[in-house]
Amino acid sequence: MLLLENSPRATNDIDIFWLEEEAFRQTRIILSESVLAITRRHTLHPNWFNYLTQILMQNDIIIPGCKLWKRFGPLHIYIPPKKYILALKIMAGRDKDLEDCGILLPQTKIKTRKQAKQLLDHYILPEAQEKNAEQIEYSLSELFKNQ
Amino acid sequence: MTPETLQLMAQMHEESMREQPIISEPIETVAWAYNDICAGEDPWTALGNFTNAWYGYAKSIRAALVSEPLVRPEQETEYTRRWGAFCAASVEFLCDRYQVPCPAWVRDPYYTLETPWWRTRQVHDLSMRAYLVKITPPPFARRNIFCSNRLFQNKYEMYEWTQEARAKGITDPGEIWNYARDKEISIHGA
Repeated sequence: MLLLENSPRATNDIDIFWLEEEAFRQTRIILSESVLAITRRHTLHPNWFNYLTQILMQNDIIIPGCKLWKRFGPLHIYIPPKKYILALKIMAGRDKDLEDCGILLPQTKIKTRKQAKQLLDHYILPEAQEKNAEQIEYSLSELFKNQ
Repeated sequence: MTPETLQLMAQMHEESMREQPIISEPIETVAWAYNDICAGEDPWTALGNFTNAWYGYAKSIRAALVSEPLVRPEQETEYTRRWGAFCAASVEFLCDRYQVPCPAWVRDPYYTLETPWWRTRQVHDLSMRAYLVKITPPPFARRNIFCSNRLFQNKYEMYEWTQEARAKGITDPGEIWNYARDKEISIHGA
């Protein structure tokens, strides 16, 4: 997630979120073949192109407005806003996610716990916030001192 | 996306996982990760590479990923001592969770820190310290490292558990999530 954020943190995989359902259904075979060809050509791990985030989180998030990053013929690749990545990392709340939050926070205007909660409300659906309440609370306590 | 399309996506994930992994040389063992950390790599990138091997392409050879002792750097610092202890604790934690024989090197007293390492930005907040003491997994606390209990949770296991729930006939999304979350807590403690 931090690949595009000038972060020193590298990534082993790319979490994709397919936006157009019909296009996915129509192109999935060629997509699979393309991914496999790249896996072999660059000796990558098979899961470098990772569908799991979408499978697991589709019903938890509000898909943000994204910025067009690259265009390869009909394939358009968008990148999500930093604030959205930050929201997901606050919700995940693992040690490494909180370190990533430490990189992302100064790149946003989020200064307080209240603003961070508003950010979560903007991108994470209420049921998902409820399910992940414990880790969200821990992340907020960790990131915002005594607020 | 409809559930049917997500199911297609799940199939594509499983097909890609069935692809014979191209195991890079060298395999990203914990010793390799520690060497990278000492050479200046971001610790979570190095440990992320190791856990990617642990949960993904090298999960069938987990014992081999942790058997080799860490090589101490020529120039030891507090930083390298701390991350050495963190690697040893991680190995003990993971071996215990996944029934892998734990290598003897992790019990070397060298990997117990002399002073506590508080892995928090709120290091002076006594309530945060008390909370970390409460939740830190024992292999870390024993080595004087105090951190959260959300260290190695990952989407690969979460996905497997959601599939397991479906295989048991659970169809309600909330119940599927509860099933997977219970599994996560039973393995990772949080």
